[in-house]
Amino acid sequence: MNILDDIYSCVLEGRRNEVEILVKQALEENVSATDIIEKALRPAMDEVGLRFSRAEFFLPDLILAAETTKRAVAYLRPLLGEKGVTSRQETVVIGTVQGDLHDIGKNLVIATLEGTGYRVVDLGVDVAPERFVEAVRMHKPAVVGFSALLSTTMVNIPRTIDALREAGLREEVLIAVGGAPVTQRNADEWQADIYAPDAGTAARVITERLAAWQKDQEVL
Amino acid sequence: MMTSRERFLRTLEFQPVDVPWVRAYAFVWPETELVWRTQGYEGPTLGWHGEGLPQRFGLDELLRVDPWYGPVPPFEYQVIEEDERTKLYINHEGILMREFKEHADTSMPQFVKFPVETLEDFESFAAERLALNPQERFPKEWQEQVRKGELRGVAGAANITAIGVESGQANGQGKSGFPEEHPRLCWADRWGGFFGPLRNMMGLENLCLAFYDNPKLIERMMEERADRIIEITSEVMKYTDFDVFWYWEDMAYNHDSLIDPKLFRKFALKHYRRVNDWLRSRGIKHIGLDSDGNITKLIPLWLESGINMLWPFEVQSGMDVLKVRQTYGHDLVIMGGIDKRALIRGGEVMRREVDRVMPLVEDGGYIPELDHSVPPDISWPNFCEYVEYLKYRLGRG
Repeated sequence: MNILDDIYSCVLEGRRNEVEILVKQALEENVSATDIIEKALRPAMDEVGLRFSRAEFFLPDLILAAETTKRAVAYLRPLLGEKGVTSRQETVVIGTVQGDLHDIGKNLVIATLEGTGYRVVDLGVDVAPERFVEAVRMHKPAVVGFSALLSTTMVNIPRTIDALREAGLREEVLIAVGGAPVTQRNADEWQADIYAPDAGTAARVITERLAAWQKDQEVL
Repeated sequence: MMTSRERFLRTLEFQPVDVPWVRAYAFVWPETELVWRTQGYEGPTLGWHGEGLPQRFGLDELLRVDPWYGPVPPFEYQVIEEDERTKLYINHEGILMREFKEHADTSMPQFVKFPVETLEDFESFAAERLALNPQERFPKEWQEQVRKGELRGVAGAANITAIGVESGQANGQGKSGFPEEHPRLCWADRWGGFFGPLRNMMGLENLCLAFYDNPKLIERMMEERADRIIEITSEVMKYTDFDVFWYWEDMAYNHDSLIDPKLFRKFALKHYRRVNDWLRSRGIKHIGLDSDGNITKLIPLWLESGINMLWPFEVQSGMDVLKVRQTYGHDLVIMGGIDKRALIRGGEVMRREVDRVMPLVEDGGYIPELDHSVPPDISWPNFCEYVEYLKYRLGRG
């Protein structure tokens, strides 16, 4: 088993106290920071997400894996900056929509996104549409994510999408939606670009949709 | 004619009954009541327990005799900061939380910090707040209400609602036309269990990690909960009998258990068994548990531990009471399982949903009711239409 396999297993098993040692060892073996992220951390988090979606992994597994990856990325980040290489250029702006204070699901999504190399701007909870608009203007993210826990608050997702549309920003970003009451049908009705049924799936579906979108942009 | 209590117990034991036992069960959100009042509802303040609904509809009731199983003395309510829309405060359970100032009951708060992080924190918390403390848990007012059988709207320790009528009416003659000898429930709400109460003390994320990082803490907390459930319930039995003991766990989300059931089993099974064996030794045959979400993988563990009733079987989380009955037969009494979302649309959609569960009523061991509280998008006319149709299908009006 090579060092990248070791790091992959380390994330899968959530051994967060060991990951920095393994990452250090990989760097000493001249494995690049980018390869550590792209060939070990990201595939591991994809696998964790898949297992979570298939109900083979549970919430603690997801939390531990995300925490492990986060520590590895934090260790690598200064190095990536020095070399002028980042694992991913894309920024994701994310928040729980207005009227909703729930943040466990959102925080899990953030952990998995950061674990797979995204820069995440967390707007927190109870985020008004105008704050999302302002954040999209300021950070120019590739993706903006809306979370809602309750059927009574998820109505603020389409309102926020409308606010982005009115601000002329709708076509600038991909819109991702999720949360307990949110369904694919809702996402279609609201013309959102990405629907994540659970926190484990979010990073993977965002990455897949983003790749397809970027390919379309290149063609255009 | 059977009393309500006889009818209830025979239902739980899969025995024939004169008519099915059913309550106009409704945990009614405060916002729901506000909406209902614009739609023709003119009764008393409903509160979370749907005060007055049993009289209005003439159905059965389940009286609650439980004291508060949680922290006493309660933490002092303390506002830390506030803005125009929200306030950050410490609640009676010691949780630092942010909540909307308006309609706080219909939104979920943001949990910022929990009182227990380490074993030392827990030992202090347990010594200061979780002891039997009978003066506070069983105040004279509670004792008097229990003695008289006046089990409605009684305040428990430090004004925490601790004893009441699960669906509204006090003991006595009701409008149902049946002699009113009501069944009694001792519900260790929020603090009777081995996951939910631990989450109240630590928060979900920290608790999940502690199962891996700090198993001694988990073991100690579960042991304390088992000790205290037995101690407090033993005290309850000095004042009143009851028919059902009820745990509170809420340990699943819309797809699955929050924690690997195998891991939870490793820690919790022996504690459930200890409490359940003790309850049975004291004559309590019916032991239930409340957990929202998709509990499919947790049911076997609970059955193995001696729990034999579950609620609420949320349809939107994939629970289907017909399939559950098919799997577990008469080993499990089922309460709930009627999709509340069908009441939003009402009419034929609602009637089909009620019809769907009727085979279970025929089979016994089933209490037909909604799969959780009543949100404001269920209109008052639709709720009435549902109760009347349910009564019609059950031969009760």
